[in-house]
Amino acid sequence: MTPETGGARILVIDDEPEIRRLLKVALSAHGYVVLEAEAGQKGIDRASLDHPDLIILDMGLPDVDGLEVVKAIREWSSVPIIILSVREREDDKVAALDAGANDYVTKPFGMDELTARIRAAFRALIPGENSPVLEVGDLWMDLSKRLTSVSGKEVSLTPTEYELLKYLATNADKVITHKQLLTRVWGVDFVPDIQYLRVYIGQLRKKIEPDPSRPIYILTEPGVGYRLAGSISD
Amino acid sequence: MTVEQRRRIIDYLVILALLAVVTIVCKTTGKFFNITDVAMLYLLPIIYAGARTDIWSSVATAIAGVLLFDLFFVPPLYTITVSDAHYIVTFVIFLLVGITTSVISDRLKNKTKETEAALGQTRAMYDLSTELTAVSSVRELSRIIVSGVADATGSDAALYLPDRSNVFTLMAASNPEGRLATDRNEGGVAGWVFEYGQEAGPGTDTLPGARGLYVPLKWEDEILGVLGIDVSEETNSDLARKKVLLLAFAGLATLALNKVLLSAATQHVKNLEASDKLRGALFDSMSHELRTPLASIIGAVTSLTGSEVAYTDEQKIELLDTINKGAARMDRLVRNLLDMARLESDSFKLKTEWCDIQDVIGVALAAFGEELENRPTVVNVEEDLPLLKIDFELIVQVLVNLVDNALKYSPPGSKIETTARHESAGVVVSVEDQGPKIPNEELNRVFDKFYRIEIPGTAAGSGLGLSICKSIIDVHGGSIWAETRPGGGNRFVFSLPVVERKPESETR
Repeated sequence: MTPETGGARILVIDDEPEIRRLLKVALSAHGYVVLEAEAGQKGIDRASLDHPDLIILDMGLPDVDGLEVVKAIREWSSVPIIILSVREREDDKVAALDAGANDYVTKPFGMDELTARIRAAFRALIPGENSPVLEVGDLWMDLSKRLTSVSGKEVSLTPTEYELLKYLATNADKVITHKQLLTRVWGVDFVPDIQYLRVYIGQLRKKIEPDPSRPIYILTEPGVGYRLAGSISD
Repeated sequence: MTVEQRRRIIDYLVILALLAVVTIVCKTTGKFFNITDVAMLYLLPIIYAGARTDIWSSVATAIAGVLLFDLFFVPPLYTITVSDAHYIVTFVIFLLVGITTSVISDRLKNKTKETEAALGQTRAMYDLSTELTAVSSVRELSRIIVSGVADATGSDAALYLPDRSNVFTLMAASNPEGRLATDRNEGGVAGWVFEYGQEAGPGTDTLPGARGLYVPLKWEDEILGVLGIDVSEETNSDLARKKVLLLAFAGLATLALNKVLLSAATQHVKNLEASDKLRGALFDSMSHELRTPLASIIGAVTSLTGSEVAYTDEQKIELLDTINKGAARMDRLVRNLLDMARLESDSFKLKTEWCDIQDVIGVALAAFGEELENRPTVVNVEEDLPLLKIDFELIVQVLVNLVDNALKYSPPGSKIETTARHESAGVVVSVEDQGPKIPNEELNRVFDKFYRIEIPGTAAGSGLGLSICKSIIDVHGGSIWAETRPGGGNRFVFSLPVVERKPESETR
């Protein structure tokens, strides 16, 4: 049971009865109340009528495209949306994330992975938590002093590296798309070019990861973006 | 004023000048020419008119000649009264000479024109036949045929062929918006020609009211298609001429089409045979590869749900772990199958982006989760490797397959080493294991589809993973090979080309 979300209501929009059943059993066991919808339009209706605290949305629905569901819900609600999608459809995922979905999990997924995403989404909702200190595993950042350290040892970062890491760390456990990172760190006018991102992420890893070839902090989400693994401290 | 008009006016002036000269010269020289000579001299402008102009100008010149001759030389002078019936003969001869010359020269002119036209058509057909031999697709061939026919005949042309699903369709038209191509009735006429193997349209016994003239493309007893041209505006003589041309082009089109269709048919049979063999191997491999994890999953689940035995927590965890591993194995297999289907589909496109190979290795190793935990896994990535323009997911899949292979075919607990470095061939990545050496003669064949080596004591693979690795590396323009390690074990190596990229701006 997660204390901060006990009893939260989660709407599952998926046309597969087996997936809905699995999620109902597993999420109920985690203390969530599960609502169900088996099609896109019905999901949009339930979202507006029942006001769930979080939505788990399958991208491959029979009636409406998952992306359309995200857009429809985002017209009037900022409820966290986590997308379920198969590996082969990265572009759909990115489009949904850029349209306002909060995160995604690739099918087939581990339940611990999904619950970690749910917790991260709820954490992001808690207001007033403007602590200047971020702590993820052995990684520690003091935003007021622009200090970063790993296992108690200070690391020196270039301004760009610092901004990158800060953005990822303030969104720990949440996927950040390439586009989001590029516009956030380099600015909106910057022509988004993934090469810059690859180079800086590589440099960052060299400075903070124990083994840059097997990263434990900055995880790559193929075709989508990066995620700072916050669950290390969970 | 056109060249033709200018030429004509000069001809008229010459005729007038000749008439004037003959009249003046004969008149002023008095008795030097007798009257018969004068009559002969008046033939000059008439012959000139016959040779250079049309028949009506020749007749007019003949009449003018007779009038002048009568007026100035035949007594009584300066009247057109003819006292002697003798001069009627002169008049008739003048006319006959004018008309005959004109007709003969007309015929000559027409002959020349025809010869020139025939020469042009022969050249057009020669050009077309050269162009056709270089083409291997039916669609391209059809396009060339109709444009060739349209150029040579000056009419809209259309070619009908049965398509891939054997439906008779308009394959190409020189003017797709023209009536010949858009009128449905025309398609019906072409269909009739295709069915009965006989020509139809204007000038034939069948459907002479049609817009187009259609001829079948016949090879031995088979009708390959139908070629037609729009003859709705033609006169009868043009129709006959164009029909001859159409038939000639139809012969040429038949030959070219037959050649292309034959080679396509041979290729199709070859593909069918190969895909049959592959399908068989795929079923063999899949039934084994899918059943093994399924057996362990179903076995473990039924153990847990059965009520006969009470398992200890430790045993339960073990059974659940079996399910987890079996499912992960099936997931990898399904990924490989999907990748194979994607790579072999016609619409396959690489999704390349700039990638850090270290990132690719990290994602591939992370995919194994706990499976690599009891294996010493060493990763050596050279400093400052260039970024690669590759399909991230596919290269991850290559590494996953190579590591999976190493896991399967090397003893439990033995080391697996992944290395990436920059060489002249590009970025070279290798995965080394300590498994039993692959025999030298087998090293090249391990990348063949569904090829498996029987090594006692090791798990059997699908024979799919390595062949997918090869396909993926091939589409990236790299190369992949296997070698044995001097110290024992095998090494799978692939290289990826390095592409120039823009330099980055911020200094470190």
